[in-house]
Amino acid sequence: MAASLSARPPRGFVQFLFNRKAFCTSHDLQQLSSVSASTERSVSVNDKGQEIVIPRKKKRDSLSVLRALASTVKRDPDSPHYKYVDDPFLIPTSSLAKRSNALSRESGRKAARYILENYSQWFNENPAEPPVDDFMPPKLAYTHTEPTEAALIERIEKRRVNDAIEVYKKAKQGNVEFSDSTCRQFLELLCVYNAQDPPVTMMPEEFYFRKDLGHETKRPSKTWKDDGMAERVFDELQEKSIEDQQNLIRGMARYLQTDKAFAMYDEMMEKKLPVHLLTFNELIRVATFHHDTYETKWKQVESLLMDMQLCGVEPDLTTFNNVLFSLSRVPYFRLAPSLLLQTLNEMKKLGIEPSLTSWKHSLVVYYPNDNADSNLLYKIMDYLEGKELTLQQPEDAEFFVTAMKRCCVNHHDVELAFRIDRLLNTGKNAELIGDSRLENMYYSFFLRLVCMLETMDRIMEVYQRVTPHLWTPNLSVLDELLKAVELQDGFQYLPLIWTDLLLFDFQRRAELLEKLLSLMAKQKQEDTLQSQYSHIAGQLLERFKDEHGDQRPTPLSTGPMVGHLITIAENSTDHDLAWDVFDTYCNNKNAFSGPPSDDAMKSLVAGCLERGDSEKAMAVVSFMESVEMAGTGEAVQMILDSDQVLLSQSQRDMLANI
Amino acid sequence: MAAMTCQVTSSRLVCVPSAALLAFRGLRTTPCALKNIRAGVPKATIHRNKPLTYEEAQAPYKIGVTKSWNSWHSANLKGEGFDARAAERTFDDILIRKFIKGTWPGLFASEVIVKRRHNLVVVAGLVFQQMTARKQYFLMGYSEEMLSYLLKCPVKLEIQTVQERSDVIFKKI
Repeated sequence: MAASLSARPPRGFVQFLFNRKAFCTSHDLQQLSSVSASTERSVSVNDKGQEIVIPRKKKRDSLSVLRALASTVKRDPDSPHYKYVDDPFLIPTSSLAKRSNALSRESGRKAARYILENYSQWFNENPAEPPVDDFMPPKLAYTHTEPTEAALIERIEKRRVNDAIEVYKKAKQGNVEFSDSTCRQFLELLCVYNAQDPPVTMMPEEFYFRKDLGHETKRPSKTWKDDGMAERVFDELQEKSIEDQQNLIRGMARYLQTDKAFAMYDEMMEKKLPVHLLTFNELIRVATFHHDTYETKWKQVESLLMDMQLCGVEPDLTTFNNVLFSLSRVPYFRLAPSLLLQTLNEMKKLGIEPSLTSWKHSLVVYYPNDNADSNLLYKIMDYLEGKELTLQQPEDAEFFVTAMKRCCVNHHDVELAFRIDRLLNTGKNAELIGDSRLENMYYSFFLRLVCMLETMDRIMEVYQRVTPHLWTPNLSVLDELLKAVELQDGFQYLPLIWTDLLLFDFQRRAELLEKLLSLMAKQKQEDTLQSQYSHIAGQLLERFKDEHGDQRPTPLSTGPMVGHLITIAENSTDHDLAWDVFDTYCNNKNAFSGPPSDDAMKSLVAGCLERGDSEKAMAVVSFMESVEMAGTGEAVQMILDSDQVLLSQSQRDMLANI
Repeated sequence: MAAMTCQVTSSRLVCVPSAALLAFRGLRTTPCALKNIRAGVPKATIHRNKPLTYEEAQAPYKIGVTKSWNSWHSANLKGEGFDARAAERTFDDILIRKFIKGTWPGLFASEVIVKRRHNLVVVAGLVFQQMTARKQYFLMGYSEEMLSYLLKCPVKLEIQTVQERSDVIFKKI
């Protein structure tokens, strides 16, 4: 052993062990082999007489441990999204905070990008080997600045459509001849981008919130530039090859110039020229924009499909999705449902797996309005249960919202809703929720249904899982939640809902707060709960005093709210608080809209009488009289009847006058 | 220093070169006394109200004991050659610290900690809650992106917030 050590084995410790093992005695070897034998099925009996079965060692590959760990990594509903910093001050809980935090971070990145692009001379040193291009300033300068063919090719490759058009025009003025292939490439560029620069790619967060920022509001409309650059270049081509014609057709179809597109297509069909799959896909997609009645629209799609068959072109997923899209644009067409099923059958025959877009379009056809009755959704869920889905087309993201909407509005089925939610939470399907608007709608429908139909405990379970980190509720959901609390006597959850209102920044929504306080004031609860309510009432009053002094908007803003606070305080026998509230109200009548309710005032009077405080009772009653409340008479009677209070003569006179 | 012997006389360490060396050198030297134990140690004030963070309160001789480093990278390990770029990394750390100091004026409550993992630079620290969350996110996005462009490698910011200055005061001397 010493000899092997002094020889300085190259791999150090491992080699040392290896050498050590070589010097093992036969006894050791036997020991080793007996250890390995015991990992196989050996049955031994422990002292309790139970059989212990040691299972066989499974062969695992090198990645199995990592895979097992990876399967535990799921979206944790108790922690904020990864894009936010995990610090209590920086975790957003209201929807406005979530949006503004994510977008501010991105605007910081944009600011850095602006500096990189405009002051690129400071960022040119790249010590990395090999050099990292992503962190270098973008190379915007062209190598060819003269209007030559090479310049045009350069701009085509960089997809700078406007610059390419400029170069082309200048070159034509200077009588430069372009080769055929360059012209063809130029035509293709113009057709794909409709002779204008492609829209600037949005950054991830901007894209996620694009609908909230107002970016995607337009309905599809014709934007193709008639007699624009593309058509001019096409006309100037000497021989218009099949590729060129198809590029033009596809461009026109994409930008909804359907008349010319179909005219050119009919020409090509007459001349019996071969048409490519991509052209067919584009035409099928816009077929419904071309004609006027449902019949003719469908006839166009059908004729295109038959032409495809004649040409011997095999359809793919995009073809079928475009057929379904066309059907979804004519949902009230009486043949639409059966045609849809036929299309799905064709897909099955060809072995093409339907994507989420197909299912979404199917739902649109089978549920054209809020009253439609169908069981297609159940069948789709049966088909998709437990599957891990991927995003193949942009419209895939709309599937979950459409499914949840139809489940909640048409079916009112909570079990189905839970199934859809389970599908969303399997594997990585949560990424398919799409953007923030779609996510809001999804959870809004889900929670409203749950609040309407489930028991209180179940509701709170789902509610607490989903909020505040997966999603922040909106007013309608909280409304439904409070309705559920009222119907199902869920009063113990009201303090939790109050803290959530603070988290979501809804405390200044008067209707919501009023509803919440009216539920709190509805009946006297048991002690701990009632003391929590009065604590909340005290908090609201404190906030009012602070914020009103600073002239900031404050949650406590209407008379009925004041009334509820008084009732809550009286219910918890905290008369001082009740009087404090009333006092503040009287001193700041301008801050409140509407008077407190009768019952609240009466309970206040009762409280005053219990304390034997006639002055206060008188004050309350005179207030009631000044506001001309209906319950004034009863309140006066209460004072006169009460035996806890001694009234002086002047007081009696006053009461008599009321 | 092997040729020098250290003798302890009274309470000071005095290093005296051996006679042979003295004769050989012919230089005039005064004995140097290794009595500098006060560099980097904060001086106590009369009123004992100078606030110190935990890190400032530890003296330099506590480095590795109760005080740790602010930059962590593997370029200084034995066997790492010139290609580990220790000097360039030090300069990068200086750049990062100046950048953070300027971008978050007066808002960083602690020193800037720089850690390197493979290609990733992690910049960590405590920040005051003086700024609203929205502004902090803006500065974070901006710093991460800007530092990546400057250093040509991905940079991540790991920030925790602290309410006020008194939260990071460890002791007052």
